[in-house]
Amino acid sequence: MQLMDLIENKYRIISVVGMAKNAGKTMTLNALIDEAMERGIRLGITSTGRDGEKQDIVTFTEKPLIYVDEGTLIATTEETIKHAEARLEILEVTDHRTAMGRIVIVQAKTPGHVQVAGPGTNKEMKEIADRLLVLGADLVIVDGAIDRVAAASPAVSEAALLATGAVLSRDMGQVVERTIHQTQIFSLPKLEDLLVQQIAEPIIEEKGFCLINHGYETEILEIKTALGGGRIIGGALQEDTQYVIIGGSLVSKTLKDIMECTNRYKQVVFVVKDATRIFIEPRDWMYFMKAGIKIQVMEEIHTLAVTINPYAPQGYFFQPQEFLGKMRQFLSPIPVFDVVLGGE
Amino acid sequence: MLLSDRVLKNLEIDYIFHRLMVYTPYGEALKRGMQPYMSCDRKALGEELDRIETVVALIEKDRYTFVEMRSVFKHVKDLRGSFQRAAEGITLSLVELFEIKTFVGMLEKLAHYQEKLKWNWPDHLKVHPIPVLKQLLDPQGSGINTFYIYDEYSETLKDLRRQMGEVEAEINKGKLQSRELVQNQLKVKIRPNGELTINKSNKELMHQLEGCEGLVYSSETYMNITYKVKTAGQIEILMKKLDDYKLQEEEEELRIRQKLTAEINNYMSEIHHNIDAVGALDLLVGKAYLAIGMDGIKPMLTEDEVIEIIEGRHLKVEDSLTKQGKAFTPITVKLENGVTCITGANMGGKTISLKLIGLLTAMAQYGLFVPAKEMRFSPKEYIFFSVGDLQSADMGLSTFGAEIMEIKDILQRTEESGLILIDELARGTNPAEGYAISKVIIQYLKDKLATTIITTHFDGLADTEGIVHLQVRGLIDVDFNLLKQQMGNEGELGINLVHQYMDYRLEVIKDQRKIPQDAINIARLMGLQEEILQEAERYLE
Repeated sequence: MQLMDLIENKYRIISVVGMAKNAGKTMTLNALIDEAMERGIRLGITSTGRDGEKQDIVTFTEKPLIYVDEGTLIATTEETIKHAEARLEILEVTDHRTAMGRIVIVQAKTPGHVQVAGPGTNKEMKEIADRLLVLGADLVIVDGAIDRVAAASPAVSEAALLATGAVLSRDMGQVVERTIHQTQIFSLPKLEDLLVQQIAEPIIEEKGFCLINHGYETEILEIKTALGGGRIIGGALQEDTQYVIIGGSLVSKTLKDIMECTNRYKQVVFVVKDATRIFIEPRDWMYFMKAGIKIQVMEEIHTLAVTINPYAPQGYFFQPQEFLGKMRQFLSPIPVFDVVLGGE
Repeated sequence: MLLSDRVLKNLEIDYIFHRLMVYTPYGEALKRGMQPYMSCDRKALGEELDRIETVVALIEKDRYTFVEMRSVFKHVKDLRGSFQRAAEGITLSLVELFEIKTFVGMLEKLAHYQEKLKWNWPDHLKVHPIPVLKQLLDPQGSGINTFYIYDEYSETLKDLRRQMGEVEAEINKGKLQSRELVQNQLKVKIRPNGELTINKSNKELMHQLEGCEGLVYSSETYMNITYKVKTAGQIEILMKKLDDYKLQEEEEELRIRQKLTAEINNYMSEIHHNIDAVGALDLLVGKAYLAIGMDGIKPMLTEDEVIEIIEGRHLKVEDSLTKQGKAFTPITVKLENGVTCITGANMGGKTISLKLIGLLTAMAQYGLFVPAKEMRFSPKEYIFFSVGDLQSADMGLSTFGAEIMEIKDILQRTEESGLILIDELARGTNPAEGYAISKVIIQYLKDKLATTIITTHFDGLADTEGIVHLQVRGLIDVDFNLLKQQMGNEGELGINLVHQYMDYRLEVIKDQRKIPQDAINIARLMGLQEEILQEAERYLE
């Protein structure tokens, strides 16, 4: 089976996100490009930048060189196209700005290598991805930033490929653990109550906080920073509180602070926009789940597959068959691919 | 200078400029640089107002074409930097050439819309298409708005690319052949890039691959070994040849971009004319849309020292009233040079009337239509506006001190044709002295060339001989006994009630009438304690 079998004719925008640098994201991307070439799928490719960070210049050098086929659409920056090896036809200059100039949409007139660097925010990424579809791409691949999963957000892509690898830890068990953790978070259930959805939407839009009780009465909480927010939320939980809507990110400290204040956390459901807003380490996560904390998301992430790279650049590696087997065993039913040895 | 920054701010003219929408960066630059027309520019101001009138009529006749025109405006980008670089002889980049092509395409569209509107557009507004540049940047004549360095630019490039294509095809064919050969021979799947990675534990396959003629060792890790399909010596030569071609292609493309830049440079004056025209057109259309949006009219210029406003409206106040479901009472005034006093009830809109006069005059002089039914005016040399609540604490001045400072300065310019607006003259000091100072200032201003409007609560200021007295009608027709009963029933007090019963219209007072004393009644409507109101009434008696 190929990765493309999971994608073709099912999705129009997918993202490739890596759990860490050198987790094999670029290899995954290249595998997809090869498969698309074989099948005659016209790809649109863009990438996520790092909004407003000084490392942009560093990231620039880290941006993978991608070999694209003739006809591929690419959204990248003014600076990067100057160094492209493929002959590029400019289709559009957008108003989105990055440290490397504006985002331009080009089409490869000849096959060759190009560097891809994209816009910074989810909203921009979505706009650019939609533009690529309008301009004729069959499938858009959003190359997520190194160690950032934001591109997997359903606000951008319909489904995500998660790249993981030996680079995460020398201990294979650890790598498996952390990957399971990430897929667990990605597969959090969707908030089903339509009325609560309606109430929560504007709150989340404004990055606010609110409580909803059984009677759908809401209480808006004035919380300046998420870090100190746990105590305020904990103190505000009533006997009949049913949902806690969290507009920004959900971090361990907030949940710990709530648990310290009250045991009413057991009766409520915490709601966040999507799984990319959750920043909780595996150990804490296990503890919270055991304690009975329930989290739901407004939008689900569809994890298409996990790709693995058994080699770490530090020089160590895992026995590929063993690594693949273990991953498959623990991640089932999510398909797992070794992008180094290829599909079988 | 027509207005100081402070007067600009106090008149809240920003609110108007905020509603003046332009879409192109060139229009934006012109909007930012807008200067009021002074009385010496009377002719130019008249012409500008006439042009707005024409465009308003055109919009009403053919709204759709303007919608299309503005949707083109929205895509106009600021290319002045690129043109500047080109003029300095710096070779334009691929993106810049693409943008110039887009710009040239837009010029054609805009010129087409202008033609469709059937007006003899003044040259500074008329967009001139540059067909030579269009042809230059679309050498295939495809009409498609994308750009790359086309084969048509040079025979050399065309030949090079043809040869490259042939070589590439040969290389691919060769690679594919050797790949398939190996695949068939060994029954393995080789990746499109010609590589094959296997695990070292698969000794049998490894042995087979080692012995395969068509494969060559590429790299290995502890676990894996990667082989590459061997490229025949002939293909190696072809690939080297292709690299050479690529280098030549790059050089040729640079040469072509240099040529295109030089060619574009030849049309710089046309380009700059169009940049200016697009900006001016954008701004003019914006002014016309503003006029329509505020239901405005063209102010008429007169030679006399007069400002006559019929049913003028204060947009900001009107907008906020509309949101509350209320209507703004239009103001009608005729002001000549000398002094006009406005008296009347508190909360009767005296300050708003004053602001309205200043704002509409300023708008007219900025070459905008005004929200009124009619307006006649002569352009002023300055507009001065002293509003009671000065924030001058940082200068160590009291309200009174700051006001006097300003008035001292403006009294030196009373022989110019100006507009002086003073809200509640000398209110910040004791009534006896405040009255005396005000009386003399009014005496001083009454036969000057400047047009002065003063609002006041002082009795006897407005009946100075030779000045015009306007009064807010106020609460004169309200039966307070009836109102009190109603209030008793409903208990609704406050601003809404005042607004409901207030007649904001101004009327000319000819006799020596006392200023109506509405303060107690208004305080009552606002809900001040009845015992205090009654006590105050006893004092008055």
